[in-house]
Amino acid sequence: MSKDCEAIQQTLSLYLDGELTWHRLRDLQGHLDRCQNCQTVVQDYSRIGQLLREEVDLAVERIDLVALHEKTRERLAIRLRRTAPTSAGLRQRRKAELWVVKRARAYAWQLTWALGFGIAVAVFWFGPRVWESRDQSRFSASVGMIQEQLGRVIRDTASVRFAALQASHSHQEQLGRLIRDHSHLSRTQTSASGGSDDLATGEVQEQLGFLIRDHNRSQWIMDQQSGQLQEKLERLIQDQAVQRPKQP
Amino acid sequence: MDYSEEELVRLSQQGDLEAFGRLVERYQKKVTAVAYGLIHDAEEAQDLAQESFIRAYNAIETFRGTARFYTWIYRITVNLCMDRFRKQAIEKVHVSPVPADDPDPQTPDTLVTRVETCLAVREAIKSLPYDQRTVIILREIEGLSYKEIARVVGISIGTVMSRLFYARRRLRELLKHHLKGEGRE
Repeated sequence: MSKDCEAIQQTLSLYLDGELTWHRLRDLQGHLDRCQNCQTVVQDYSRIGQLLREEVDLAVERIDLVALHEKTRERLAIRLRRTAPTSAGLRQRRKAELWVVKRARAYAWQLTWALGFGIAVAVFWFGPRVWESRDQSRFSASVGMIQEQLGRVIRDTASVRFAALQASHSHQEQLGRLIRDHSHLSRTQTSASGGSDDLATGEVQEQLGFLIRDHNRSQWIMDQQSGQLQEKLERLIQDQAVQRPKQP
Repeated sequence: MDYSEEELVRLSQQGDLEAFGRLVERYQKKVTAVAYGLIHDAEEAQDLAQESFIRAYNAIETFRGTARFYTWIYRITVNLCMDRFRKQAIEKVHVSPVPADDPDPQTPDTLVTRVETCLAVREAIKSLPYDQRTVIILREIEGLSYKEIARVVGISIGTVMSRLFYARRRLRELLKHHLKGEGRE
């Protein structure tokens, strides 16, 4: 046997069984066409298979398959009867199952009643408290809003007063300066006479007049704003009184 | 009504004994052939075939349908035969007599040759290790593919190829005299 033949011996078995890929089949076919030895091996393998089949078929043909079938069914039936429950056992099991079902139903009813009673108690006991706390929380929220607005109004009032105070101070300052200037002009007027001094006095008086007017106007605006703020305050206090929930 | 294999299996899983009976009817010859091929004793083969079906019925709920029913039951049969083989050292058990009333009568010489060949084949098979015997029987008698053999026996395809090669080589050596008269040399 050549080296090639030794190498492909296992392939011959695959070839016989049709398990070779196309490429390997093509290569092997080429070798088989040239090698009588390997052809003989393939033929022998094929013949062995045939002999085996004949031998087994011959033995199996002699077996009564109908009888075999019946025996199998009988053995199966016997096996099932051994493991199957008896009728007395079945009745007992059925009785136990019914008892369990009845008890389960009774417990289910009791549980349902208990649950319903619990829900009713919860509704009647906690319901008003929940409602009240909801009103309370709503009231608290509105009070909070009113207080916030109050705070803003107070702050605005304070800032208005502060601005007025500032304006008043600056007016007073200007007034002081003007009076000082006027006094100075008056003193110098006695020492020297002339129309230009009268003009300066007139200008100072005019400025004084403007200043007093501005001051009065500021005062008037401040009073107006104060009045408005006062009105707002009073309204807020009224709202607060209305929204407070009635005590039971 | 003719049911498919899947329907019969499904009905059997639901406890229908009649449906399982039909499965037995369909496969009992094949199962018996496999059992005989492995054990080479007709009585034992019948007993093993019955036992295979009983075990299959008991375990029918575990059959998921991922493979064919026959590969599943062959697996049960192969395992049962292996257990029996190990327990009873089957190679030492008596050889079943070759039937004398051949349905195809031939000349005395031909008949003697056939009987001798039959005995020789039987002895040759029995001399194989159990694992090689299993693969050669499943391949030659039942015509299973390498993949199916691998699934039935629970080995890889490479192992199937290897065992088949060694089994054929061994049988060729043992039966070379009986193969000589087939036009060799």
